[in-house]
Amino acid sequence: MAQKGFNAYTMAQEQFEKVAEQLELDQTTRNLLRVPMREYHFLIPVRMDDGNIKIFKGFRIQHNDAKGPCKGGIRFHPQETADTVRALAMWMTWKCAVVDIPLGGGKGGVICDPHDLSEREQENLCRGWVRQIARDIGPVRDIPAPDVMTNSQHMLWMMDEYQTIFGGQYPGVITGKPVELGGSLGRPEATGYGLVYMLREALKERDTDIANATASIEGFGNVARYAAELFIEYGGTVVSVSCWDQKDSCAYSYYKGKGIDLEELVKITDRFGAIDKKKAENLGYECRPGKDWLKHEVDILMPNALENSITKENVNDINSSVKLIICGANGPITPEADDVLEKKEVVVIPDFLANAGGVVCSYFEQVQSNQNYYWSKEEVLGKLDDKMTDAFHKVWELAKRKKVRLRDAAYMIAISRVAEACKLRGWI
Amino acid sequence: MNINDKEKKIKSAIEEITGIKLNHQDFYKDKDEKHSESKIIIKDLNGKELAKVQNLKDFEDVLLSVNKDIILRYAKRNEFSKWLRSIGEVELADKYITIEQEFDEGEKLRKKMIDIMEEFRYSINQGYVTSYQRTNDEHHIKLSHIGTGSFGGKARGVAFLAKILSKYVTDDMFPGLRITIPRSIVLSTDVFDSFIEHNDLSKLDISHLSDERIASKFMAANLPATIIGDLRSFIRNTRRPLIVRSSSLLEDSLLQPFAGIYASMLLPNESWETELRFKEVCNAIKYVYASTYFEKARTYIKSTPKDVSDEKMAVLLQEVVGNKHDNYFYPTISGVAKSYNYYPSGPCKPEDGIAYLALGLGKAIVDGGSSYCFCPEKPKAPLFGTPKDFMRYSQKSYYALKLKSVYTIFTKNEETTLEKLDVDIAKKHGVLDKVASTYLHRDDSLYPGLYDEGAIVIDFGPIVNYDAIPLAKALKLLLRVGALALGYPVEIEFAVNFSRDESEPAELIILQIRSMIPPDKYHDVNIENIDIDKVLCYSENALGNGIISGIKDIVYIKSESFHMSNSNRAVSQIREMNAKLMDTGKPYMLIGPGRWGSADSWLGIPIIWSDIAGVKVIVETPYGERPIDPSQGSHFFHDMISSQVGYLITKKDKGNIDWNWLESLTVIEETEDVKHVETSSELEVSIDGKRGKAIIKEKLMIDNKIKTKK
Repeated sequence: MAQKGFNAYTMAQEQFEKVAEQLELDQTTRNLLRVPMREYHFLIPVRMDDGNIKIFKGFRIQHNDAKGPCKGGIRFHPQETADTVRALAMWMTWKCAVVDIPLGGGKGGVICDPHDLSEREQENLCRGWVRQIARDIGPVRDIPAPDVMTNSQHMLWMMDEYQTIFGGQYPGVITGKPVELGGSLGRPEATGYGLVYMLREALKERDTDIANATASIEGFGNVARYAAELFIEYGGTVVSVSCWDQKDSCAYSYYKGKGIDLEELVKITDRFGAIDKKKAENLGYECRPGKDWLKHEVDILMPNALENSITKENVNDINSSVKLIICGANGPITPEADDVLEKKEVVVIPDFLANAGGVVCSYFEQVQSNQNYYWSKEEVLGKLDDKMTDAFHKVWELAKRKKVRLRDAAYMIAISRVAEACKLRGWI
Repeated sequence: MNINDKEKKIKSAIEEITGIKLNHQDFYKDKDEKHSESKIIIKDLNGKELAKVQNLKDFEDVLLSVNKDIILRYAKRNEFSKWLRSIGEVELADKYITIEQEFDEGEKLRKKMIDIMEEFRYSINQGYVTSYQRTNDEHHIKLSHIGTGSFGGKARGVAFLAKILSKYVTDDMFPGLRITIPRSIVLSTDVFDSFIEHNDLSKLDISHLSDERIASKFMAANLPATIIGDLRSFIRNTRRPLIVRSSSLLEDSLLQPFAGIYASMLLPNESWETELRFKEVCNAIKYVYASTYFEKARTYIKSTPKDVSDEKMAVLLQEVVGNKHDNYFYPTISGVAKSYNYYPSGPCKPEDGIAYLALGLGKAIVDGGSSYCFCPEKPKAPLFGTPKDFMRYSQKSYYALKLKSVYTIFTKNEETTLEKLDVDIAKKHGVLDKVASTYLHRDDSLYPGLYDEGAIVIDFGPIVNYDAIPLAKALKLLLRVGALALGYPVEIEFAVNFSRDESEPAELIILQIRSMIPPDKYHDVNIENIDIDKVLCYSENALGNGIISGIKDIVYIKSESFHMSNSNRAVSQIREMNAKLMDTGKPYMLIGPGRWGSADSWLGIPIIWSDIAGVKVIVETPYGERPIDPSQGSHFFHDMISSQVGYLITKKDKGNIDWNWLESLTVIEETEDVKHVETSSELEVSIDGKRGKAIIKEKLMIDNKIKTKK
């Protein structure tokens, strides 16, 4: 979020320019891809519970739809800025392209704090947002999804409003719906599982048997839990997870050398994702400061919680046993820390590649919704595994060939795919 | 025989059969060298030396022969695991140390120890199985695995074959014939475990659910997320028909062959849509998993010392061998070869083995339909009558896979995907050149190959008699090497396929290998001097050996009224009586016309082994005029022999069962076609395994005779 002196959009553009240089893209292509193709800024009047009308500011930014309809979340956040949304829309374009799904990038948001809104006010805000943008989104134009502080209920209100306006059933207008109403099986698991599918392939490349591998995970939310679940299922050992403790206002990491038992930890976790400290200690877990998660002697680190969790300040705390870091969270490693890791020959699988399982499954949801025919969980996860594995090997192969970091290779693949699509359409 | 000797014997057998000098590294050598340094002396309680264990072979002998309590005593002192560790078999030692602590009962411990050794025997060969990699889709990799657990019986057999073939068999040994295995993937038992665990299936109350209910519960569950990506990629890359086979831990193990107990599914795998093919394969796998708990399997397992919870299922996915002809798919020839022939005839000795061939898919052989048999050691020796007989009894129809079949998982038998076709259709498909002869009425002779006039006879004449391909030689080699390497007689399932391109060599594809139950060391049962008129039944064609006593119950087909058109109806009646008798723990004798366990209901009652799992003696009485080759129902016979059941074939004119006596017995239960009666005194069945003769008499009769003599 809006940190002082940090502009996500500037950073995204710099990243793009760097890769454009490596790809030797022409100036026209750069001019097209470094900014969003369309931006919608609008006001949403909402009648509040007290009878007054409050005006909210909403956005939808469509960065590029050369490869297919735009796809991206809707964020409700008090400090939302147009630039943040622009950057995120651009990253969505690259994320869809790197896993090669036929979608472009978009992002939307409303400047608001849903904690201050009643459920009815939230519903009105959602419906209002759709009324303003309905003509410019849709199953063949732009498909929103849940994001920061939005959930499946918000999506259903939005879908319903859209269907009311257009007078038909269009479940494909939005993703992140519950399974009972047009959602996809496997959606909760998708990001975490996708992460581990990629990890599995990376370990094969490094001649490490996943069944003997150990990992430490930051976070204990949806991504972290499912990643841990599948990793353990493959025979791996997770020695530590971490979470934010609301009561003590700090993060703790929970360590067990023999490996955590996911089921018992989930049982003692509240609905905000905080593990009960006392119960955990009774179960034989060592409770340590949150930042200790990266100090363990393990093969793999999975930062699955926060931005900027590995920085130049703590990067040297990482144990020398670590061979691989796979980023479930967005932007968990600062560029300076990344440089250090490269020198230490630690493989870093970048966020927008590693956590693309979520958007891949959203795409599957949209496909199923559009054809109004739903797949088995095996079908969904089987296809997810396919997509993630293919994407990983393409990136890995290019990184090896060009001798660049995985992050750069992933960007090169994504950007060249989008540029190629623009070229084929005759735009440039 | 120690392992080096074994290696030498295998080599010399190959050299003898092929005439080619071998120059390979030793088969088991790396494993054997460690064995000589350390030893255990096994002594009984009085300190008398029973055996010396210096290598794994000695160790196996001890497990099989030494008293269970002595084994338990050594195990409790961790002697075995210590010794194994000292010879460098750390993995085995780890396994043994756990069970040495775990078991307190000698017999159970011994069984478990034998199982582990068996697993190890095969696991020596697992190096030839690679982990499935979808990035390098190399078609030359024939056998790979998904998952990290055990492979189960069938898949271990295939792995073993892969090893033998790559180690010993070179293309120049058999000109015109390439020996290989089909492309296969094993889903190991840990996948099954995780499937059961994640879907909470262990909580199902299976004993109160019908097979269909169990299947549908399994079908609604999800395969583990860890394997579906690999599985999907395998399916995406193959559009050949697939067979999904069970490969359970207990199945096809040396001691308890569960052949044919669990489900196998044959899939056309034809659709252009990967999704559909993937879904079908997923469902087939779940169905095979479900079959672990089907009634058939539960009944069978009851007749063994094992428990359903011991069972774990691996799944073997194999590409079906064959060519596409119109909408059908089948190999030119399917076959089964056995290194020991339980029914020797003519110049062929039991050790010469026997091979059965059939046109099309192997269902005809495995289920006991009509097929052609010959002895691989003496392929030209006639095993059956005149050319006219050949014509009359040779295969008239064959099985093929329907590629366009509408497939649903609940029609669980093979009938939905298989079709019985007339031999004439094969002629149209152009596959008969090498497998058929023509019978000409005018000179009552058989001529190899096809002619415009005359009758088609599927006798494989061009191959067997005129060596169109060196099939007999290749089978001889595989049987001998298999038997030598495993140390037991073996049974091999195979297919032969001719390429459409004449310049390409034919392929001999080995589908499966399993150990036959070793023929017993013959007891001396002398029935030569017994007056056959005074016994209840006499047979000159009997299988089994020894004296079986303690039987008072007889289940028989009411012969005076029975017609084979009712044979299917009789199956359920027999099954119910079997269940009742098994529940009360009573062994019984089964008597009826025609070949038991035949899939062709016109040749005999088409029971499967689990229908009669409690039987001790089976009597086959003559039916109609047709001579029936009794050893063709492979699975059925395999199970029967492993259960040490006596099988007596009687003739009309000599020693046929005494029907008047049967009718005079107390009736316990009577149904439309079947009667269950009880004798007043115990029956005694004596089988002379060496001469294949047997008699049945009442114990009372013997006692009476002794009394009269006195």
